[in-house]
Amino acid sequence: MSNHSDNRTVLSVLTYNRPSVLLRMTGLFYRRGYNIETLVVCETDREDLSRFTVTLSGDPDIIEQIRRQLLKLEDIVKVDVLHIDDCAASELLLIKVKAGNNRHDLLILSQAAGCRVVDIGDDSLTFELSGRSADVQAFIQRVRPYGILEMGCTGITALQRGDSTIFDSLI
Amino acid sequence: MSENRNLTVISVLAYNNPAVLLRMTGLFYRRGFNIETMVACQTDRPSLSRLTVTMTGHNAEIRQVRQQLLKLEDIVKVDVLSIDDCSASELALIKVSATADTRKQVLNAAQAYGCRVLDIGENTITLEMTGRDEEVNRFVRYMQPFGIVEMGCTGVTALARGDTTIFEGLDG
Amino acid sequence: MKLNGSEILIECLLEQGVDTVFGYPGGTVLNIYDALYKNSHRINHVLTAHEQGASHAADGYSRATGKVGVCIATSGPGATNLVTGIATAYMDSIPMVAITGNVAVNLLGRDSFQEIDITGVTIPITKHNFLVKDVNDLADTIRLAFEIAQSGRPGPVLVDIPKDVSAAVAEYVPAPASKPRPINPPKPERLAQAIEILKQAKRPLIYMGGGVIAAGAYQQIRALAEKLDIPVCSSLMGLGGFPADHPLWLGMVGMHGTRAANIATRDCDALIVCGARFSDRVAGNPKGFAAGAKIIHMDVDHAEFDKNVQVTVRLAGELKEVLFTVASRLEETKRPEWIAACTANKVEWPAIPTDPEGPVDPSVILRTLRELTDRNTILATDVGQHQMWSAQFYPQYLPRHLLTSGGLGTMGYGMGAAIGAQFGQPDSRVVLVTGDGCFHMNLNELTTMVSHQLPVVVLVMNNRVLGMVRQWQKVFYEKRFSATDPERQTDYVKLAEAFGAKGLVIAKNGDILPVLSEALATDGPVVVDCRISKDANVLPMIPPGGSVENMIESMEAYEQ
Repeated sequence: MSNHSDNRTVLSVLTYNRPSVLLRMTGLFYRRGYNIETLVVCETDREDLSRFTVTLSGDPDIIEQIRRQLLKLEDIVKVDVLHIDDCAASELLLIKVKAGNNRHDLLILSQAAGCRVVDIGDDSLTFELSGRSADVQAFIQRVRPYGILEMGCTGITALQRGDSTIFDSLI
Repeated sequence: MSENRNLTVISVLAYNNPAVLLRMTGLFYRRGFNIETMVACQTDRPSLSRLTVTMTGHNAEIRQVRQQLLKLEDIVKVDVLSIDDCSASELALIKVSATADTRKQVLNAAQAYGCRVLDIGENTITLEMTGRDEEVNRFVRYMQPFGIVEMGCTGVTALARGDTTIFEGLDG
Repeated sequence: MKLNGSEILIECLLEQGVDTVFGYPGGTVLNIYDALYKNSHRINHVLTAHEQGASHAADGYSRATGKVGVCIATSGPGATNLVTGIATAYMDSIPMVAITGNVAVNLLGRDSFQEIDITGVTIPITKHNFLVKDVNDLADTIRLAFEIAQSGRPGPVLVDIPKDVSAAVAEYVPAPASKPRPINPPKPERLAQAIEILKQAKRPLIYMGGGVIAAGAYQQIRALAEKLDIPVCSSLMGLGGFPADHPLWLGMVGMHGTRAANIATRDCDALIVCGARFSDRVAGNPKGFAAGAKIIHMDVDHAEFDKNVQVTVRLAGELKEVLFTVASRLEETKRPEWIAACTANKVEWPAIPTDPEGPVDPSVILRTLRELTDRNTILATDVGQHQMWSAQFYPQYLPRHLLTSGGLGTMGYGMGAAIGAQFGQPDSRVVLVTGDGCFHMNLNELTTMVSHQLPVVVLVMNNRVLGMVRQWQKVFYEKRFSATDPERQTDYVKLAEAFGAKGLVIAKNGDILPVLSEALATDGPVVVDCRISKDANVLPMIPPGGSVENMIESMEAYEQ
């Protein structure tokens, strides 16, 4: 959901799974004035650990500062700083577009973009599209002329390319 | 990624400012509300953000969450929807072990479930799966025997079914 | 008109009708203090000894006047020193605007000298807060802060102003005072349901709280009670919202409430809860509270419904209007049997002892004080045994005359609150009832009382122990008096004199009347060392989690 050409940094953060972690992290970002673009949280296969994926753009010095600040939080186990191109990074968009007389056009357009149709209303179509931010953005621009009624986006989750994982070098 | 079937979706429209996420997470933490997922995104209106929260709970608990949220100055509107009344999707990235022997099986499974293949490593394949939480869960369970190396998912975003939108009832 | 941020702030405070602010200067509010200096003929600044005192003074000012209290502090420690006062106001829904300085915008987030993220710190204890990064947003932010503080359920709002913002210049356009936001009336079907319950009710009871005082709904609650012949009890926060000499008055409900009020909650068949929130100090056992009653909950805050106790009908709205509507839709009723049953449980106070050499009973001090003071006297308290005795033995007849930290239970609240109240109501007598534990927390504010020659009478209920905690240790910890017997050697008379105040002593029963009379006749602050027994208890007492069946009425009986 970002307009930036993808020069973004991904912070993959492994934390203990405690209710306060999200509050501590959002508090840190707020207090220090760090502008993040997306933040998503999920559980991991290990019951005691959660995974946070943060994307942001910014000067490498600031990103290094953020990494160090994050590591000072007791709940945080590990922070990987990755360039978004080194990741399999995806987000998901739900978008409700006014159908009008353009139902057919929209269906063709969505098919070409690899969307799923998840709901058909009297005068709207809801599409689900997933992929890299650029693809998602492009689709939003394509349907904008038809009238976007509303949309919801998840933010980005990202895994390192290849075989390495966030658990590497953990015991 | 919840195992629970009776999820409620709380769609929140809020002014777009850096403290909103902090205020909301603070409220959930302080009052001990157990939310399952929360995602935030911008909307087509530059001043407004959309936050989608999913949680399971009794009606009284959900009502309490809604009323507490409405007390936050930054929050414009809170819609409570049953997940069945929503188009609700999440996305999972799953890195699965795939040796020369099992690679084909993994790829077949991915195709059967309509996954995209995002990356193929020496010993792993990274797949992107989207859909309702139960679909994603089913797929994850199916892939478990191959060996899931790591996983990342986004949490649920949801829109009401039909033509209605979160902006309904707002002035503009 | 071009003004700098600090001048804009002052103009906006004046727009809101603010005449007095309480605060303490410092590095990041130098610009604001410069503007206060230049405007000292238009706005009164009261310097306290400590920022905490300023926050409690703003709170006391607000409670005594109904207006929004304002306090100002510098960044860092100045701001964090406000935190307890802000939290106290938050828990008791007191409208307050706290203004803090902060380091310049380009220094934020860098751990600069005296930098603290006070907006982050105060999120859980404010209705809302603001960090103003652009002077062009300042005026509207201040106006919005006052609007939020007064709207719906009132509460504190904090505005953090970086130093460069208070110096930067912007166009100032005057605006009228902020108004509270309109409140929607309850749903008609819910009103109908409530009316039906009250029509059927044989044994109705009103349980009111601080919301009645915040809404100014005293006439309306009295009209409803009188028209339908409904007895009334109140939480600590509601005291004064209903006259204590009214025949329908049963007293305070809850842990240290009256026998009559607590039994009535058990026996009623319909409970009207008005501007109250079933705190654990009222409904120790929420499942057993008014278990036999249909509950009608009236509140302006929708989030209070079903938070602690599940209710039958939720009436969200402005209390005056809700109470008026309900009363107007019901016929006048008389229920002498129910009233007689309720009032039969009222316990008569024992006769005042006459032995001049006898021990000093705190309840006798308060009852004598009540005799000596008019109904307009404002009583501030701290927190603990003396607070409960004040609630029990100094009956309240008018709203906004009892200032006490009910929700947060802040020891050290009273000194600041009394100062604020005296500035807000210069023509009223202000008495602070405190304990020796609480007094030691913020006695520094005695200097503020002396500087301004405030005629506040400070009654220190001096049992030389931390009485309430000690009482709990007595009841629940087998008399293991851990850290409640500090053996302090403070000479209260010398202490008062060292600050420039008067000091008096009540050492025996015969001192009570003459010493209180002398204190009340003094034109300036007086500290009275009231030497009471360390074994005086607050009774009755319902243990935490318990209900009226578990009420302890005599410590001797309990110990056996």
